[in-house]
Amino acid sequence: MDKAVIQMEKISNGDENALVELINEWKGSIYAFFFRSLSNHADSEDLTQKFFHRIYRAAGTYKPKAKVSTWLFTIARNLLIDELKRRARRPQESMLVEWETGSSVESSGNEIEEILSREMSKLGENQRTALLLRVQQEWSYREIADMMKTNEANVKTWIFRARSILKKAIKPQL
Amino acid sequence: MKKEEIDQDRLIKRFLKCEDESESFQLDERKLAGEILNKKQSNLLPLSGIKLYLPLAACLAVFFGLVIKNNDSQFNAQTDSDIVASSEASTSKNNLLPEEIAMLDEWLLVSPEAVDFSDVNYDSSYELLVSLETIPLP
Repeated sequence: MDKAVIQMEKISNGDENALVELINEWKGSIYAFFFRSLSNHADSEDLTQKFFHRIYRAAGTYKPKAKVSTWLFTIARNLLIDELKRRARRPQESMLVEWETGSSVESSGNEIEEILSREMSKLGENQRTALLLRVQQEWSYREIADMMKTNEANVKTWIFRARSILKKAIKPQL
Repeated sequence: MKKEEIDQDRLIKRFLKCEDESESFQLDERKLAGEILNKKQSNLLPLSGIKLYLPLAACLAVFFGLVIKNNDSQFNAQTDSDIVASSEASTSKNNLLPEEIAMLDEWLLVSPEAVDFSDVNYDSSYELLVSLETIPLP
C-alpha cells in the first residue's frame, strides 16, 4: 500500500506520531503558501493550524488517485479562499488591522519585499496561487492545472501575467 | 537589460519562496497534534453522552408517561365512584328531615304488623309507600 495512504489511515485512527510527522513535513510549505497569499504572519499561522485540524478530520477521505501534495494543497487553497471570502464579508476587521499596522501588508523592513507583498495582495487568487505553486512547490503546469481544475494554457497565462506585474512593480527600485 | 531581468527574477523567486520566514516560523508539531487529538476527544465526549443518555431519557419519558396516564385514569375512576357514592349518600340523607326520620322510627316501633323489608323493592317509591301503608292499596 502507498506510504501516504498508510500515513493518512494512521492519522484518521488517531495516531499522534503519524500526525506529528505530517505536520513536521508540511508546516513550512503550507505556512509559506499562506504567508505569501495573506502577507500577514498571525493570520498565516492561524490558518496553518486550522489547516492541520482540517487535514486530521479529512484524512479518512484521502484517495491514492491524487498525489498527497495535490490533496494537501487543494485543502489549503479551499481554506485560503474561505478566509478571503470572510475578509470580503467583514471589511471592517481588515480595515482595523490595516489601520493598526499602517498597511495592508506587514512591513519586512525591505522596500522591495514590501512592494512585492503589496502587489501580491492585488493579484487575483488564481494568478497568485498558480505562481506560488510553480515557484514554491516547483509543480509542473499540468499539476497546477489539475489541482486548480483548469487547463495548462490558463495556468501559463496566469503565471506570466503575475510575474509581469511583479517585475514591473520592482523595476524602478533596481 | 538582460542582467536587470535576471536580478528581477532572482528577487521575485527569493521573495516568493520566503525560506527565511518559513524557517523562522515556530510551530510545536507535537503540541499541535496533541491539541488536535484532544479536541477530537472532547468533541466525541458530548456525542457519546448524547448517544447513551438520549435513548435512556426517551425510555424514562415513555415509562413515566404511562405511569402518569394510569394514575390519571385510576384517579378519574375513583373520583367518579366517589361522586356517585357521595351523591347517593347525600340524596338519601337529604330526602328526609331529622323529624321525619324520628317519626318513621317511632311508627316502625309501634307498628302491629312487622314489615318484611327484604321483600320490598325499595327502588320503587310506590312499593315503599305501600309497604309503609302511607297510601291505600288500590
